[in-house]
Amino acid sequence: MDNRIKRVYIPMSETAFYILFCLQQERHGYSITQKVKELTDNEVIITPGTMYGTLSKMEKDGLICFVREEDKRKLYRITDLGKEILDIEIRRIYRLYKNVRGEEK
Amino acid sequence: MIGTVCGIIVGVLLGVLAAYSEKGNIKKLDTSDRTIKKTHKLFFLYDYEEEEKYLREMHRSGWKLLYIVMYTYVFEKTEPEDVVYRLDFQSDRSQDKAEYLQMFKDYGWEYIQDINDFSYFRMPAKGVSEEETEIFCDDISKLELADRVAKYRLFPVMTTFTAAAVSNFIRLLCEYLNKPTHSVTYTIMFTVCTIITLFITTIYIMVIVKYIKKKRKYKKRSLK
Repeated sequence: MDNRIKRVYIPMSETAFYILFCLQQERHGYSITQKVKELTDNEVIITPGTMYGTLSKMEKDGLICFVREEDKRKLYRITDLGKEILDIEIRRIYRLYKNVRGEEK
Repeated sequence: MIGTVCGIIVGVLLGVLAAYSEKGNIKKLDTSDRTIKKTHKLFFLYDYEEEEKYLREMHRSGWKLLYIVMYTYVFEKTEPEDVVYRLDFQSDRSQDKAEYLQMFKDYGWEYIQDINDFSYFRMPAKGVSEEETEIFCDDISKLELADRVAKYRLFPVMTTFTAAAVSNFIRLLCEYLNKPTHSVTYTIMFTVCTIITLFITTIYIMVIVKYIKKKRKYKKRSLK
């Protein structure tokens, strides 16, 4: 994997993480926001400027790809490279979680 | 001498024209049956947050933005309402415009118009959470907006323009100092050119300072 990609995306912002996470299924921008709201009990709200910018950037870097268009909405899905990045992030967050739990014992 | 003066004047005119050239579709509205108010406001490159506040304030006092042309804001009398205005800048919009606008529409934003690649949106604040009245939800994307404006406007357009004006002025200054006597017209023209150059340079420095301040603000916050 490209070092630049690693440097840019690891660690990832919460917004970027949720966008990538939700794109394991094909979705368009607004439906990602809806899904993230549902997952986080309305705590994380991704707004259109950020969504548009992040999708463009991730598509350019090859983390996600354009699948098809539906009523002027572009649907995206995660790529193999995106999955690799997401896996690294999930492992990192899991370790974080484990360590926090360990301290509490 | 005349050449240099003409150079500066043409430069200034070109700059003004460049600033005025407004891309996008300004709605041709029949305003004969409406109560219209026009204001003239100068917001520079990095004043988009101030501009948002100004438009929101106007709407709150019963003036809804119809369109903007040549730094003239045209408002229509309306019921006072708290409506949030937001500006986005997307110059490298590789994807098509329809898709971009559809995304904002999905989130409840009404598109007004584009000026120099800045897109204007608005949405009533009532019944919407504070977070949803923003179009950028984290400091990283606010920082990226400031950088986009720098990459596509501040550096290529303003820097070239200011550098041209200043270099022309230096030539003129050399000519002025080398001549032993000066006619009144020459002195007046020299003074006018000096004022114009100083004005352009001041604006340029102001914009640069604002850019740096914005960068610092969001960088500091995103490090928290």
